[in-house]
Formats: sequence, structure tokens, C-alpha cells
Amino acid sequence: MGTKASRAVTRRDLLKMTAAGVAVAGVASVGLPVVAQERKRIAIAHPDRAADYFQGFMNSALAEADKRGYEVLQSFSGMDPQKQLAEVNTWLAQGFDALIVLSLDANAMAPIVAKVHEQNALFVSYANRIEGEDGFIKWADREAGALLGAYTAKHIKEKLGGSAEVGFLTATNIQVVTDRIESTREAILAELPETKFFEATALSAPDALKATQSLLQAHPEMKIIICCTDDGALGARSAYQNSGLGPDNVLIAGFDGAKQNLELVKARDPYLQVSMALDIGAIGRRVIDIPYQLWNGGPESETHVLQDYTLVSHETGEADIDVILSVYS
Amino acid sequence: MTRQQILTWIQRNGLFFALVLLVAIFSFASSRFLTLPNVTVILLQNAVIGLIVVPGAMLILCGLVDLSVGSVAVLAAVVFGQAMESGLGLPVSVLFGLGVGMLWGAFNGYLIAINGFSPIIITLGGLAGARGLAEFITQGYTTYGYGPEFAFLGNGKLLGVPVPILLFLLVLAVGLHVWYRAPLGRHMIAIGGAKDTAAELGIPVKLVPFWLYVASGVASALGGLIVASQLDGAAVTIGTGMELEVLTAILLGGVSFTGGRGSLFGVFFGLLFVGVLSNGLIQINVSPYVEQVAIGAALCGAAALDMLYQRLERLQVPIDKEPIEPVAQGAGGGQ
Repeated sequence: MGTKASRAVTRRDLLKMTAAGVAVAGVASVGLPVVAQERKRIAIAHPDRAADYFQGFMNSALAEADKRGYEVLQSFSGMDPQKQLAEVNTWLAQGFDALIVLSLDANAMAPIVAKVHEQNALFVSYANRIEGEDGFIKWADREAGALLGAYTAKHIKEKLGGSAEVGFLTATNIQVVTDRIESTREAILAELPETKFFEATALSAPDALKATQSLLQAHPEMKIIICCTDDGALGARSAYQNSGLGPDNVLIAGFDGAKQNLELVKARDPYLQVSMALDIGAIGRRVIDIPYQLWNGGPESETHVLQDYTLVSHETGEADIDVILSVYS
Repeated sequence: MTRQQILTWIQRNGLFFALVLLVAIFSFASSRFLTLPNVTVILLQNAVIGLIVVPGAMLILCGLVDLSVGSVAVLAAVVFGQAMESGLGLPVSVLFGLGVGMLWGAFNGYLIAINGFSPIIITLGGLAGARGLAEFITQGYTTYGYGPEFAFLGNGKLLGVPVPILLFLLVLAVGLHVWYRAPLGRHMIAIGGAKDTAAELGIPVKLVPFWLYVASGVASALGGLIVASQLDGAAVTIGTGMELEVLTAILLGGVSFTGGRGSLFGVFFGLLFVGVLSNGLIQINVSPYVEQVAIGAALCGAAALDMLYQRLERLQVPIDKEPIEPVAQGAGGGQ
């Protein structure tokens, strides 16, 4: 009896499931495309997921997209230009309404612009410019370098007697980075033409640790290290801390506004004194807002955005640093 | 040591002479290069890679490879950081970090050594998977500030020698003993040279590589913890490109990628060659724009010099006087 009852229930369930399946398929075939058409898709090809600021940036972008009812496609290509191109082509096949891309190879990305436009979608450049773009968000790297260079020159004049050896940790294949470092060098030279510069390649903290250790062996009097990233600045700081050299008037500076760096500056760390901070929260919001402005005929000032840096140093108030840090909370 | 043995050693360690030449060039160019503090820094900078290179070279000697070392290093560092953040305390957190390396190594060993999966595919999977897992765990947020006890691992000194260098020298000493003196060294050469024959001779052709993968995982994890200690933070950039650095040292050192032949002394010289080169180029202030070209040229030059040296010397060695033992060839001349 039990077996018979079970069999009857199973048959009934099967019928119900079949009916439900047909109903769902029917609704889906009519209803879902309508929903998909209304919900715009923005693909964000930001390859550097390992960057300390990435999550703050993405949190902000996702919150803004949620507010505006957009769907966000995220990148998983890493720092490989070929993978980035493959990923963008996959997205093109999948379909989207706007592409925000931090291009690892600007030349290779140029043909993508035409493909994006063929699909009546928008192409928005992130961090560097691509010909044919509909909008962009870029950092004022050269202006930031000028600001940091002037600050460094002041430090050399006031605390190091007007002359110093300056170490640069850089990478030659990334335009953003070379702009940051070259403009810093130019600003220091404008004030102190006799300054000597020494360079090494390092983007990440582990590489910067090694590079700074070598620099300090060659130039034990070196008091200033300018890093192209905040992550690198952390490696330089570790090298100084464990070199046996005192922190007297040492100045280590980086770019980005990463959480750990900002907290160290806020705590008045004797080595790490400056972070050229980008407002990560604002950038996250902007990458969603630019397509919105383009779709709604917004002014060029809202679609072609040059994002300023803030020089965060020991002179910056704790409350001001907390405002920048809030994006990481 | 007989004349034959000396000549054999010279033939097989041409890289040593390339290293001497490189040191001479940098010493001439910079008065601060050949000083005790800078030599210490060079060893310190390469201690982490050195730790990982020893089991890595043994794996390649067996005809296998581990490409996941950098990713396992960062995963171990991240797991340690998260454990510290969770308040588990330093000893437990360190065990967690090392345990992750051990488990990942055992996973690699189980699939590759026991079940015969492709070492390249499996460890390439680990290269992507372990780093991806680390990124997933951190969600982009770096943990930092582990206190002075943990800082001792990366920055402390014992008898005036930095702890990472001591750890590296310890691992190297064990490695040299195993490679040249213990039966295990001959087993590795046999497995890499002729696996089937080795199996017929009763050599544990599965267990030896399995434990080498475990050792590689633990060494990678220890390396990750040392870097995290030096930086006082478990950044997800730890271990980036580490697998290439490890492979460069091993292959430059003359270990055959197909297994069965190689010298751990050669690997040590390869490690030092790359380390001296990186340090020296910064010392003489070579522009970053030409740095990579210089590194590439020096590596190719060293490899070519090594090969040329071996060929030239072979012409002069009276082969018929003292034939070389088969084991000594794989073991690098019985140093």
C-alpha cells in the first residue's frame, strides 16, 4: 500500500513538475528578454584584481550600478594583454551596452572600439586614452607627479640641506607609471637641478623590498624613495626598517591611496610619509556614471573625466584621511 | 681529489666561472658591490627562492616540475594572515600557513606521482587555482601588522646572520647531502633517467616524487611566510613570478628539464648568478629601460659560456684514463 501511494505521488509530482516547467518556459520566453533589455550591462575590464584599492573601487562601482539598475560584468583576465583581448571578445559575443577598459595594450585595443560601436555600445577608457572612445576617466598623473616633486624638493631643502640622492622604483612598460615618475623627476629638477636620481624596476612590495635593499647598499645616504605604486612603497619601507639605518628625515612616497599606506601615514609612520591618493570611491562611481551620462546626453565634463590626486602626508589631518579611507570600510 | 675529478668538476660548473666573471665586473664598476653587507643582502634577497629551488631542482631531476610554487606561497601567506586576523594566535596561524603548503603539495603529489597526471597541467592549474583562492579569501583586502615575534622570521638574526639565510643554508645543506650522499639522490637520478628500469630495481618511483611535491609545497609556504614577515603584510602580490625565478635558477644551473642529470651546486650558482645580476645592475644604476635587456643578455651569455666551457674542456680531458662513474654524472661530479 505504501509503495502504491508513493508511486501515485511520484506520478502526480511529475505531472506538476512538467506543467510548472512548461509554464516557466512560457513565461521566460515572453518575459525574460524584456527584463534583460531594460537592465543595461556594463562590462568592466579592470585587470589588476590584486591591487589593494581594487575591492574598494569595485564595491563603489557595484553600489552605483545597483542604484541605477545596471548589471556589471567583471574581468578575470589578470595582467595579460592577450587574455584581456580574449575576454573582451567573449563579452562582445555575449553582448553588453558599455565597456569600461583599463587597456593593457592600447594599440591592440584600438580595433575593439569599432567592434563595440558596431554593437551600438559605448567604449569608455579607464586610466589611459584609446582613439575613438566615447568617454574616459583618467588620472591626473603628471599633475600628481608635479605635486609630489614639489613636496619632495621642499623636504630636501628643509630637512636634508638642499641636496639628496633620490631613488625611483618604477616600471617602464606602463604609461601611467612612467608619467607619475617622470613628472616627479621633472618637478624635483625644476627646484633642485643638481639632484641625483637612481632607478630600479619594482611595482609590487616584494620586488620593491629587494630593489630598495640593493639601492641602500649602493647609496647608504639615500633618504628618499619614490615608488610608482603604494604597494611598492610598503616594500621600500620594510627595506629601510631592516637596514639598520635610522628613519631620520627619510621620505618614502607612493601612488594610489592604498588602505595600509593611508593608515601608516595617518599613524605618522617615520618612513612612509606620503601617498598620492586617488579617491577610489569616486572613481568607482564614475565608471558607472559616465555611461549613464553618455546615454542621457550629459555634458562633456561628466563623460571626459580627469581625476585629481590628493597628496596625503603627515600634514594631512586625520579626519581628512578617514574620509579617503572610508571606501575600504 | 684527482686531476680527473677536478677537471670534471670544472667542466660541469662552467656557470661558476661565469658567476666569478660577473662578480669581477660589478666589483670593478662599484666599490660597494663586493662588501660583506652587500653579499649578505644578495643572499637575503635570494634566500626565499633558494629554499624553494632545492626541492624544485630535485623534482626536475626526477623528470617532474612544480609551477605552482609562487601561488602556493601567496596562498600560505594569505591563510596565515586570515588566521592571525581571526585571533588564532601566531603558532596556530603559522601551522595553518605551512599546512596549506603541505596539503597543496600532497594534492600535487597524489595526482602526479601516484596517479600519473601531467605535472605541467596539474601544477599550472595550481598556479592559477592557488592564487585565485588567495584572492578569493582576501577579497582584495591585505591583512597586516603581525607583531615582532613573526617579524623575526623574515627580519631577525641569529649569530649575526639573517634568519632567512640560515633557513636557506639549512635546506641547502640537507639538499646537498640528499643529492650527493644519500641513496635518495641516486633514486631521483634513476627515476628521472629511466623510470621503468628504476621501478624494476625496486626504487619507489611514486613515493619519492610524492614526498618531493610535499617538500616543494612546504618550502613554498615557508617562503610565502618569510616574505609576509619581511613586509609585515600578506599582500596578494607575494610570489608573483616566483615560478619563473625558480625555473631560471634550476635550468641555468644545468639540471636537465627531462630529468636524470644535474648538479645542485650548479643550481646554487644559477641562483647566485641571477641574484648577483639583479643586485649589480641596480648598484651600477643601469636604467630600467635597458635592465631587462641586460638580464636577458647576461643569462644567455652565461648559458652559452657554460655550454662552450663544457665542450672545450671535454676536448682536453683524457677520457681513457679515469672513466667517470655513471652515478657521478647525474650527481654533478661527486662534490
